[in-house]
Amino acid sequence: MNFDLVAQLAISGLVIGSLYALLGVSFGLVYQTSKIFHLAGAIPFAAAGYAAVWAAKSLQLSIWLSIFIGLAAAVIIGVLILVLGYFPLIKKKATLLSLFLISLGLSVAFPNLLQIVFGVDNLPLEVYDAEGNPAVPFANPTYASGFLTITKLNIVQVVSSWLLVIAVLYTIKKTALGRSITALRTNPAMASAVGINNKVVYLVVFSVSSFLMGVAGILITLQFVANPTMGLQWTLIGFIAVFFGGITSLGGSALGGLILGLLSSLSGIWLGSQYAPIVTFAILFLTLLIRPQGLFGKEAI
Amino acid sequence: MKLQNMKRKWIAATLASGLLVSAFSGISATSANAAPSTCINKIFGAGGKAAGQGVTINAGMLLAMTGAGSFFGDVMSKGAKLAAEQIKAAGGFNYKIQIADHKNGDVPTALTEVKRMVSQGKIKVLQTSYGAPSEAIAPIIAANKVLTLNGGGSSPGQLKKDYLWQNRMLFGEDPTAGALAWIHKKYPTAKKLAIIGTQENGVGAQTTTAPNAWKKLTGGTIVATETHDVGATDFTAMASKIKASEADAIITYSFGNDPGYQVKAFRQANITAPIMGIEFTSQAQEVAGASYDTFTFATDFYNVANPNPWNKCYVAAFKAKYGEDPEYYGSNYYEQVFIYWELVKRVIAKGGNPNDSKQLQAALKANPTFNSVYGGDAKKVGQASFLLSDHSISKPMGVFTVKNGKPVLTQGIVKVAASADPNSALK
Amino acid sequence: MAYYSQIAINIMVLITLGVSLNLLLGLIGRVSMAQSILFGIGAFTAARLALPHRTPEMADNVSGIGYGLNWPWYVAIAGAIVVTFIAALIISIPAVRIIRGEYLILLTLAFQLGGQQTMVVAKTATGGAYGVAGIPPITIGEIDFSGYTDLGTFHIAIVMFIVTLLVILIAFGIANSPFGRILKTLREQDSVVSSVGKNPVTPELLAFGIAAAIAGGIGAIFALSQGAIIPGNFNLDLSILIISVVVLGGTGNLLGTVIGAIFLGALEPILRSALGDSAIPWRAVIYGSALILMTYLRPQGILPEGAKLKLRRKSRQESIPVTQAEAIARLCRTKELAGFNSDEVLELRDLKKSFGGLTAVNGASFKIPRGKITALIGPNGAGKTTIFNMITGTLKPDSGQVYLRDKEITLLGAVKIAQSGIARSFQDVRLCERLTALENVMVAVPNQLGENLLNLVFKPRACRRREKEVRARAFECLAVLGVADKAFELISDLSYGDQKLVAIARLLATDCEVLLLDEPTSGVDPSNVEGVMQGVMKLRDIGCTVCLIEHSVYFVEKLADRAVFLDQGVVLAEGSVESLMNNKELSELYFGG
Repeated sequence: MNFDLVAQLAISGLVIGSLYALLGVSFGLVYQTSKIFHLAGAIPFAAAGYAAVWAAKSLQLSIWLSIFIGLAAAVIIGVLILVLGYFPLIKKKATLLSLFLISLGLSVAFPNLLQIVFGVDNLPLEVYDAEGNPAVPFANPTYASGFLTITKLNIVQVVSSWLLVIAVLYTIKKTALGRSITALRTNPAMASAVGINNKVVYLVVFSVSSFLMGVAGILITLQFVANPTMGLQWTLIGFIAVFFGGITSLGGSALGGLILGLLSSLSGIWLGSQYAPIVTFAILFLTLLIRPQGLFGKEAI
Repeated sequence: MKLQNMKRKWIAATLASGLLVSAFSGISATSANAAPSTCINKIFGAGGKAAGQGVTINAGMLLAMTGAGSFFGDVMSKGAKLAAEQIKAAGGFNYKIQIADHKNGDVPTALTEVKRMVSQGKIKVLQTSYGAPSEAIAPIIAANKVLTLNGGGSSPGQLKKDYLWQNRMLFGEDPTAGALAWIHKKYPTAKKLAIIGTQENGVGAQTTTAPNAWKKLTGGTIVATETHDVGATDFTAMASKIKASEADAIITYSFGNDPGYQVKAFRQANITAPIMGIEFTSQAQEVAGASYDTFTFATDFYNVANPNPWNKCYVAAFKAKYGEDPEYYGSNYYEQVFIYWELVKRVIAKGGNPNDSKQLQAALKANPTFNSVYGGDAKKVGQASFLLSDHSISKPMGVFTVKNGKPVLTQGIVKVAASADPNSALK
Repeated sequence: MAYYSQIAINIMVLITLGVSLNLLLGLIGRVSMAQSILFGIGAFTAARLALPHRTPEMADNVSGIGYGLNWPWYVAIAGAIVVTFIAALIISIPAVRIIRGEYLILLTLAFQLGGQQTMVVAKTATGGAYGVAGIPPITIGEIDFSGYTDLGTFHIAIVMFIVTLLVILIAFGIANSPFGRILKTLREQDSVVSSVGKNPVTPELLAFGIAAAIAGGIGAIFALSQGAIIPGNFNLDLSILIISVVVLGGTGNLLGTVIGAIFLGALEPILRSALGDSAIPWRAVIYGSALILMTYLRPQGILPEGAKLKLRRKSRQESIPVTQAEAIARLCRTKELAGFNSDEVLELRDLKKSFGGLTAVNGASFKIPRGKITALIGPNGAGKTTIFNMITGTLKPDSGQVYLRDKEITLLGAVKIAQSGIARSFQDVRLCERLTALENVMVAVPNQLGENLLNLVFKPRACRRREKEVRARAFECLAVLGVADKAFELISDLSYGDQKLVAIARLLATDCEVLLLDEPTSGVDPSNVEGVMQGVMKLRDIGCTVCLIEHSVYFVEKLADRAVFLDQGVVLAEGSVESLMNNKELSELYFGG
């Protein structure tokens, strides 16, 4: 076996797995508190990318301001989805599957709306000087050590993903707000009985989740481009990471994402790229049969 | 200059987002600035009855208008619409376009849409795109006699089908010998080749044509064969494997945005081997950014700077109408409308019925050579010929190198038989 | 015409796939994300069976051209049905009874995504991304069934119409059969099915198998009529669309699924002709918005399951066929039981059970006399419910034995124990809220022919006859408990006291000799306690042996013939109720603490 290759694949797996972990936590937060299959999580993801590109291009803002606008857009649109999309139905005591339909409708409509407004082109996140010449905002050198390489942006992706994951996990564990979220997750009836305001918790959870989605969207836009369908695949992966890790544990969702990333990358040692998803899903399938509660899920069902 | 254009677009976009309701009418707004008809008349002759004035042909387009490939549908429809306008203004036939969306290659949708256009829209000719849907609709167009041209996504499975003709070279298959011969000429020491592609297009080229040609040229080996899903974006794992294979050269049969993602990942993994593709789009260029400046590709690529008089007339009109340079795929669908026009003129000259696809196809078979925006020179319009034996086309091909984001023709190439010396593909 | 026929075909494909999913989602409440891939497995199986033999002209590298076994179309369809049925069993056998709720969604999602990727990679089976073409159409005499011609498309639409009716009929038959009743019970109260002595595994497996077989059969017709299929046809988007059809139409309502499929299937063509070519991306926006709007307007679905029930209840305002006295007379079994010589029906010998370090039951031994009411009393945590769970086999004792009429039943498992004559109720009633009281009781009646699908198909008359008897028996049980007048009410509309009585009636319907009641009066309104008590006494009147857990002293004194006092998993005392009440030590433990 070629150890250089294994090490390099592990690095690739770590990079992509860190983003999966970020998405896993984003998705897990929403799912744990509301049980909604928040397919529309793809919307803040794409909104962040587009808003940042728009700010840099049309408003000619600096890269950091553009990123800020992108993240703000993600949070705003995420909260709007909750307030205008989910709240009215939750009030009507709709089933979770009906909420899923709302989510589905939004994620069908939104990419096409993006296409209508911004066109079909791939849009890179670039900054513009006074003459209107586009430039790459951050230099992205490749660091090499022998066979192994990693780019600066990859390092940024790994570090920022895990910092955010740890920050969210810490907040959940240590703060009153986090405890409310846990309470709501484990026993919603009891939580409202002791005066935890569901609405406020939901609002916070969706803001944080959309923020994390936005960060992922910005990181991907920085690496490549923004396009209308950019969020969809990622949302599905976040969803799988959550269940793979076990829905009872947010940390499990993060680790589930990481393992998913490593799996899909390392399976490349033996198999072509097209087989990677098959291996991933087969392992997922078997994992569920052996541990129906997910890898790190606590309670048996 | 670039910024101004961009700004205009973006301000328009911002406005549109504010006025979603009015956008309905806004989308179809066409430029009042019609194409200059004089240059068309100079090349294609005067308008009038003999040129089909007054004849209306119902035409269908089967394109990817939504989903990941909507870029293709966008440029293809732009090309055809411009051609229809130019021809009408030049006193030619009335080419009435209906556009159907096959949702990025969905076969059931394609079948339903073609049935709709045939039975409701009464189309006589069709401009199709993509491989799988075009293969699937072949029996319908044959049963209903709809003369069909495909200018994007030509595959071996579409050959020799009645009423179905390809006006681009076979994807991957045709330029392979030339592409590899060029690599061999430029990098004579290269022995180890890595082949990348998808299972959707150019499969035969990846598995047979390229390995055979490479062995004949260099006596070397294929050190890696990687296939991936269409629309994949993460190529870091593949980069590691290509790097570990220590390939001297890479040829990729990926298309759409995918080669952009690939080249970027490969270059970031410090892979320095030359990368040869068989397609170029501005979209992949956007994805790859500066790392695309090392990319070469071999194809029947449309060259904006081609001084051929029809091409100059076309580029000017396209810029006037859409504010941007025409694309490769758009140009193929632009040409298709002119092919139909030519056929209509021939049928009228013979006193036939131009709305009968059978007569149109007979006219095509009688003389399969047409004007082209490809090839030619400053004085002469280019020519392209359909091959009656298998309904494919022969167009000028070349190896292009991306310089500062723009492809530059580096070497002309031609199609050669599988048994021939691949070196003979270099012109 | 071809276009409208094609739209009709597309909608009917959606209807049938929706109906197949509704068998899972509606009847047993299991969400499957894999209907699309099963549809595809059927399509590719049929294609490979029906395609002509390989000829020398078929070059290997020419995509899209396939070859196969050259079997006639009907064999191809049958083959597709069998293959998908088996494929569904392969996924569900390891998963059934283990994987629940959201994890089942993930499991089926993994199957769908892994499967669609496998289809792309498995070139020899599916032709790779380009799929296979040239699949021969259905041939019946000289009729044209080619999907490529006007008339052929119209004929296919007619075939699909017949198939759709057939599928709906099958689904309707299943939903309203005793088999379907078990599935609905599984949906709402998973544990009840085994507690009334019925095997919950086979029905669930069969439901998955049938849902898959329907999807596979439709896939086969799809392949034969289209002539060309690619793996991309069978992607996750289709699975999601199928779920949308069912949820939008109203889960558990077949007519709702039909309406949902028509709505979602016709929306696109309508938008197309209304908006024209210029607004293609707008169509998707409006499509998404329409989905959202419909969900707002009808959050429970266009036709919720309740809508159907309301109609049915109205149409079935029949009179109660039996009075309480008649029912008691009919169900009385004191005479048959007189033949047994042993007075003790149930015996527990030294039962032990601990959870982790905590000992719940520590060597409990006692006997339960025939035809009497025995109360298990004692403070919280005395191990009473644990003992119930061990008797009925839902918990395995660490040691000790349970004997039913001198036969050991300790390790028989829940289903067998219930079948041998012990049934239990639960503290919470565990009734199916969306079913009527009568249906809830009918589930428990043993020996129902119609619970076996084969019987439903091959002995429909016998099934119908037995169903009448089952209905009559369920009525009698309700009448004994005095709630026959509530037979057609939905459980969700009943008072808690009435629900408890229906739950006891369900126990009675099992024909079990020993009935274990876990706190029959807990949570019941004081005004209804008397009714429940009357009901329990009726059980003794007709000769049942009753053992109950109860906290209400009043209730125990009034009802029980004997009592067993437990504390910390040990029997402290047993005997007549008065003798225990008079024991000072015990009453302090029980009441004074």
